Amino acid sequence: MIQFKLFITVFLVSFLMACSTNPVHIEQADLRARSTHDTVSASCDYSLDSIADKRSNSRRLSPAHEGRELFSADLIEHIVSTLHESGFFGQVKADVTSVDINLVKAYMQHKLSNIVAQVVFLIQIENEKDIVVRGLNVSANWIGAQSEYVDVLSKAVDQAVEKMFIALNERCGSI
Amino acid sequence: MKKVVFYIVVLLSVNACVSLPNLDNRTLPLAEHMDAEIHLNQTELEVISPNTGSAGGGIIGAIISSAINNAEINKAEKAIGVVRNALITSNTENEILDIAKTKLAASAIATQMSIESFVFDEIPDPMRLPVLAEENQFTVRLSYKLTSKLDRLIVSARVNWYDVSVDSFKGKEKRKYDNHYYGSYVFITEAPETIENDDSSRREEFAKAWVSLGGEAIHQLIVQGVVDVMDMLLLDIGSLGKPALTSDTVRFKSDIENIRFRGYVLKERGDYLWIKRISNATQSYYSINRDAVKFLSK
Repeated sequence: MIQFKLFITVFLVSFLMACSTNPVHIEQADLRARSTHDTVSASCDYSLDSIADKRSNSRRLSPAHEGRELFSADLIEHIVSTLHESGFFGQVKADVTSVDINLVKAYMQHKLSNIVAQVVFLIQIENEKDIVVRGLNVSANWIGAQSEYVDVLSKAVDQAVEKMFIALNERCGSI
Repeated sequence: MKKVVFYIVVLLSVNACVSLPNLDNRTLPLAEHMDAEIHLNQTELEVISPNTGSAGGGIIGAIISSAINNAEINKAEKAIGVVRNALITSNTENEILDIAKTKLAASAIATQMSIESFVFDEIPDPMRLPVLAEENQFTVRLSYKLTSKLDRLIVSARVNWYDVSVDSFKGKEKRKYDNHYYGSYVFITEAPETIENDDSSRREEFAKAWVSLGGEAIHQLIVQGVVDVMDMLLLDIGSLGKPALTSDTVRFKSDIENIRFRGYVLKERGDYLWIKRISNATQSYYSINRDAVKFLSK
């Protein structure tokens, strides 16, 4: 009987969460807790000149009328800390190649019964052609809980960062 | 019970006979002053969600449907990524909003027009329309996207016009929506290469074909689409819904997205035909590659 009551309570709470339209604010701590990024070792040294957030000032991840409103002000801070922790960018030395990283897109959409997150970096390397890397994650939207949105966005960020490392490593040999 | 069914049938029949308001009895300008908003609810080239149907009822069916949707959306989003990347440094969003704004400002729709444009994260909640509208509200919703198979580029403008007036009834002011005009203007162009057996498994090949055009050329196609849809909008409203029709009728059919209709040819612009769809229910105009339509009569 207790188990049945527990089941009903969990079901009702889940149902209420699914009906919630409160805006979701995704914080750096949420993203860090979910991040499963594995460190990629660098093939050569890069000096990280700048990381810029080129998104609009609203930090909105989804349009006003598409399900729950989603915001992430701390996304760039999360990316900066991930890059520094990875140790990918070495100490500034005279002979290293300088890199500028721009976060150009970060958005989430509801498509059928799924949440889609996209994170795009434009990487500018001195005297080289720009590189575009894109992180994508698609996941079922079961109950519309904050944790689902955090999970999808976190995976898209991890994938974009990993692709960035792979692209830079590949470019490393040709520089 | 029979009575209930009878009334439901009667109500549905009456509802079906109500046609949308049109512009037949209006003259230009439609209003002295009009508030216009242009919305672009996207930040990148969109892809239409694949139509995967349903895997049956119940929780098991829902779980299976969700898994199928998930896989198909993943494939479509992954495939379009390279096309989006080719456009990443183009200022497509701002440019197409500027084009739409300039076209609308130069039109004779209203004597005085206040125009605001909004992109993606700036778009106000549409639920306030028309509930909070104080007066004339003219909204243009733009979009540009590839079909789920990535074989066609579709640029569209959808117009909603609420003609709001305030009536006095028993000493109380009551807002009244005299007219609600809805129009749809669509530009459709084919992928630069025709790929045989073009089912959804060929998405990567279509994506490569778009990328081979180059980002600037894709950007220019989108811009051409916006110019066409805005010009069709102004042709429709500028001639108050009665643009001159040629005697040519055509049929357009797209198997994948279920776009199929018959229509009259309005004019030719380069390789594109402007077609007014034959329909009592909606005002729809299309600009389509000449090769993609079939002439029914000459």
